[in-house]
Amino acid sequence: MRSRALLLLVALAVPSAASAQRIAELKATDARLRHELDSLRHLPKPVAPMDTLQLPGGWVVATSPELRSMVEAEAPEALAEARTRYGGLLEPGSTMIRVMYDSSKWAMLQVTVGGGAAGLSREGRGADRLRSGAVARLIATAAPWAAWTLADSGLRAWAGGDVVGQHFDDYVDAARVRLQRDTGAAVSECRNGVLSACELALGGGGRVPEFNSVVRLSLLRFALDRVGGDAALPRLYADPRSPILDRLAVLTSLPGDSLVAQWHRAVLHPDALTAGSSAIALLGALVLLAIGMKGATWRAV
Amino acid sequence: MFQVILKQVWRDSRWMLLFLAACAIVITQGAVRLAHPVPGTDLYESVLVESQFWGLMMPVLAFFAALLLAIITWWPDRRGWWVYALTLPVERARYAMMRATAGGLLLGGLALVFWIGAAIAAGQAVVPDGLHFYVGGIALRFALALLVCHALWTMLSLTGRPAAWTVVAVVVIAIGCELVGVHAISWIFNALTGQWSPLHVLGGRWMLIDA
Repeated sequence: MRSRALLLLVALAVPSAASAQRIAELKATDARLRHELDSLRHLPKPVAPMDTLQLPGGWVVATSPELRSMVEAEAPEALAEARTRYGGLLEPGSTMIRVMYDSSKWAMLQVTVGGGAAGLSREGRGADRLRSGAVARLIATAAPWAAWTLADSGLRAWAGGDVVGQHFDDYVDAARVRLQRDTGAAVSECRNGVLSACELALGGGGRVPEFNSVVRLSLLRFALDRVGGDAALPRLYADPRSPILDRLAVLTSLPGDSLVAQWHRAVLHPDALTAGSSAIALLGALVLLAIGMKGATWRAV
Repeated sequence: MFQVILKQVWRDSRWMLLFLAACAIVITQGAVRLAHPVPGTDLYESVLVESQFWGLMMPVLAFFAALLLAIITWWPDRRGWWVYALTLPVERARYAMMRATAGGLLLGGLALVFWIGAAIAAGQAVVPDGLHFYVGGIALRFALALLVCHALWTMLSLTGRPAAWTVVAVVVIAIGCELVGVHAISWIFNALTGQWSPLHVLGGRWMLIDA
């Protein structure tokens, strides 16, 4: 009798303990969800329902129907650019881009590749408020770039910084400063125009880069934005296991030292007055004066 | 006759030119404001940012200097309905060329003041290692900007109403295009400031101090 009672107690206690553990877990989950909900309340109101915008090459952009129609209507060139530059880059269905967009203030973009995710948000107020064209450009340029970056760990390690959504022009000033301030033997020689030293300082030859991340990113964006042309990103992605400088050379179809030479000039003297622009200015002034003299048809009245 | 025209334009514009010359000196001095050695501090970014900030005012100065001089140069003739000009025994185009040249010479003087101001500013300042002064480059750029703006305003002044109506028509059409969703204003702006436009010289960074 006593042993039966003992067995009964054990039989009741084990599930009770399991239940207590489960209850504790549920409470913890509940607390976490409550906390997340509280934090979500401070976020701007998301746009719903979502719709999808299918691009060739497997890009699926989840967005609101309203934004989809605006994007298609107002920024066809941005979507065309996306198709040209990024089409076929990733496997179909591997990438999901979600855009949340408020017509006046902000756009949040989330990219998911496999298990990874990257977020990117832009915000503008007043006269700088985001328009649908700006969001379309965000989709066309930043989203595939973010997705690709997630997939390419080699590049992320080399770049050492946030490579999403910036243009070469965004890096020029900072890179120019870093180009002068970074320390190292190769950096010093690079400053004096020795291009082979620049390659070493950028991490060529398997060396650890001496240049700051901003300088490296400026080279990457220079190759993509200024030299690469259409479909530059797929060419960069063609052989992800190669050294970065080799990949950039493939991307630009230029010898490595030629690319570095162009980049060096573009960073150090981004707006130098060239002989060509001076000649155009002189010629333009002469043409304007000639038009003025020819048009001097005033009459006394 | 050219000397008479030059004297007249100078007499009418001397105070304004003096003011513009003072502006040029202030701007060049401002561009090197932080370029002085301060022990224990590194002002690298500050020097560049300050140089870029004051550099923004250089093309603005060139633009408005040419505009003001064009107004002063052509206002007497426009006010008198060109009667005086038409009574002179010279061709209209030649007369216009002499007036435009007189204005251009005075603007050349302003470019010279700018160059001297930049040279003085560079002589006084000390920049961190790796930075350099670009006195000749910035002065040449300023002179070219003055020349292009002077030619532009001269053309608009001489062609009178046709040019004015053309500009008004372009503005109205551009606004109309924007209303129907065609972004004409940005297209026109890009065309006017693109690398194949003479106005391109006004754009970009104007850096007296740079890497």
